[in-house]
Amino acid sequence: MLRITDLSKRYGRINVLHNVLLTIPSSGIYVLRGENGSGKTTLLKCLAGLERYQGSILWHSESLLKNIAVAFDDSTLHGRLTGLQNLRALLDASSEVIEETPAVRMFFNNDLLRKRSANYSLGQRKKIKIAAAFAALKPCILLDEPLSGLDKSGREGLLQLLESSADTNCVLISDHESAFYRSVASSEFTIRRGKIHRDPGNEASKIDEFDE
Amino acid sequence: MLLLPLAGLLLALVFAFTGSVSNVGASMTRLEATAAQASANGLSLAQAIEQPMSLVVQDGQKLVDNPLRYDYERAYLAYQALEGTNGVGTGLEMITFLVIPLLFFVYGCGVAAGDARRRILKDRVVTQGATPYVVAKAAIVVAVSLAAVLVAATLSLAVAPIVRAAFLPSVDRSFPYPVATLAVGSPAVQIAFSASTAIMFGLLGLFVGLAARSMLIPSLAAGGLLMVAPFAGPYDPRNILTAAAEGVFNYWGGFSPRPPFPVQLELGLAAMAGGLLIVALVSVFVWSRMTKFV
Repeated sequence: MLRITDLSKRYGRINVLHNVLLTIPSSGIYVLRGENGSGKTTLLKCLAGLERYQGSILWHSESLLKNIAVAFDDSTLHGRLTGLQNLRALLDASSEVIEETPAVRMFFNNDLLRKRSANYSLGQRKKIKIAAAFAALKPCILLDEPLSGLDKSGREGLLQLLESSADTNCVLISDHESAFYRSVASSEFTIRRGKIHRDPGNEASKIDEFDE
Repeated sequence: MLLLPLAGLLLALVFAFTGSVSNVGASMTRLEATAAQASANGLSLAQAIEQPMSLVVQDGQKLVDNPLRYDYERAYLAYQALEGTNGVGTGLEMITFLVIPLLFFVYGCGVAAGDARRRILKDRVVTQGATPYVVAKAAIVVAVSLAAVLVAATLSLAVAPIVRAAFLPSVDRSFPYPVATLAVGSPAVQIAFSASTAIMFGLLGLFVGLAARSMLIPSLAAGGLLMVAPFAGPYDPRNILTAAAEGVFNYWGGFSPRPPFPVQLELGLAAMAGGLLIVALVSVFVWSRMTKFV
C-alpha cells in the first residue's frame, strides 16, 4: 500500500502541503480533486521524487520511487524523436515490445507512432505520456489531469485502461473532472488548505481498506 | 549533441593539418633563404651540419650561432610531423590545447542541459532515478570524449601521408641528412593525454550545466575564460596542460604553446583535478536541491 506520513511541502513562505497523512491500498483508482493551486500537482511531484519535501512516502515498506510511473499534465516530448522513440526512451524497451503493449495499441497505430512527435497534437502527446505510464508495468501510477486535451476516443481509451488496471495497480489521479471517473473510482479525495480529506459517498467496503 | 564533438574535432583537424603544411612551406622558404645566404658566404649545408649549433634566448629573442643548421633542423622536423605515427601528435597537439577544452565543455553543458531545455527532465528522472541519471550522463560524456579523440587520432594517422603526398610531394628530397630528435610519447600516450583533457573539460561542462540548466551562458563564460582571458595578462592558465604535455607532444607541427603558468607542474595538475572535484560536488549538491519538475 501507499503510505504518506506527515508530508509537508513549502514554496518559500507558502505552505502548500501540511503534514499530509494518507494510506491507500495497492490496487484501485483514487481520484484527487481540489481548486487550482491547492497542491494536487505538488503532491504528485513529491510522490514522484521531483521535489524535496518533509515526511515519508512508502510503497509497502520501501521507497515509492522504484514503483511508480507518472504522466504529468504538460505533455512535453523530445520533439526530434518519433512517438515510438519517445516511448522507447520512457520505457527502456524494444520497439516490438512497445508496439504490442495494450496501452500503446489503445491510442496509436504504427503509422502515427513513427511520426515525429514535434508534429503531434497536444492530445496525441498526452496519449504518449498516458500510454507510457500504463505500459511501464509499475504497481503505482500517477496521472495529473489526464483528461485535458484528450478527445472522446482518448477518454474512452483511458477509461478502459483504468478499468483493466483497477485490480492490479494503485492509480492516483489528480483532476477537476472527478465525475468522469465515478464508474471506476474506488475513492475520491479533496485537497484543501494543505490537507487531504476523504469525500463522503464512497462505498464502505472500499473505505474500510485504508486509513486517512 | 553527438555531432558537436565529432564535427568540431574534424574541423579542428583541417586547421591542424593546414597549419602543419604551411609550417613546412614557411620552414622550407626560410631554409632556402638561409642556404643562399650561407652559400654566398662560402658555407655549404654539409659543412653547417658538421658544425655544432647552440641556441640562446635573450630578452625574448633567439640567438643562433649556426642558423643554416638551425633552419635545416626546423624544416626537417616540420616535415617529419607528417611522417608515419607522428601524424597522430600533429593532429592532436594543437587540438588538445586550443580546441578540446572549450569544445568538450560546451558538449558537456549541452548533455547536462538538454533534457531541461526540452522540458523532459522530469520524465527521465522518474524513469531512471536521479542518481543513475547523473551517473549515466557522466558516463556518456566520458565515452563520447574517448571515442571522439580516438576518431580524430585515427583520422590524423590516415590523413598525414595523404596530405604529405598531395601538398609536399618533392620536399622529401630536400633533407639529405637525418636529424637526431628527442624521444616523445607514443601515439597511445598522446591519445590518452588528449582523451583525458577532453574527459576533464567534458565533465566540467556537464557539472556546470547540471546546476546552471543552461548551455549558452556557461559556454559563453567558458569561451571568454579560455579564449580571451589568457591573452589579457602574461600568464595562460591553460598552459599548465601544455607544460604537462612536454615529452608527450613534440610540437613539430607548427603549434607553439606560450610559456606555461609559473606554477609547479604537479601542483597545477592537482589544482585542476581538485577544482573539477569541487565543481562536481557543488553541482551535484545544488542539483539535488533543485526541482526536477522541468
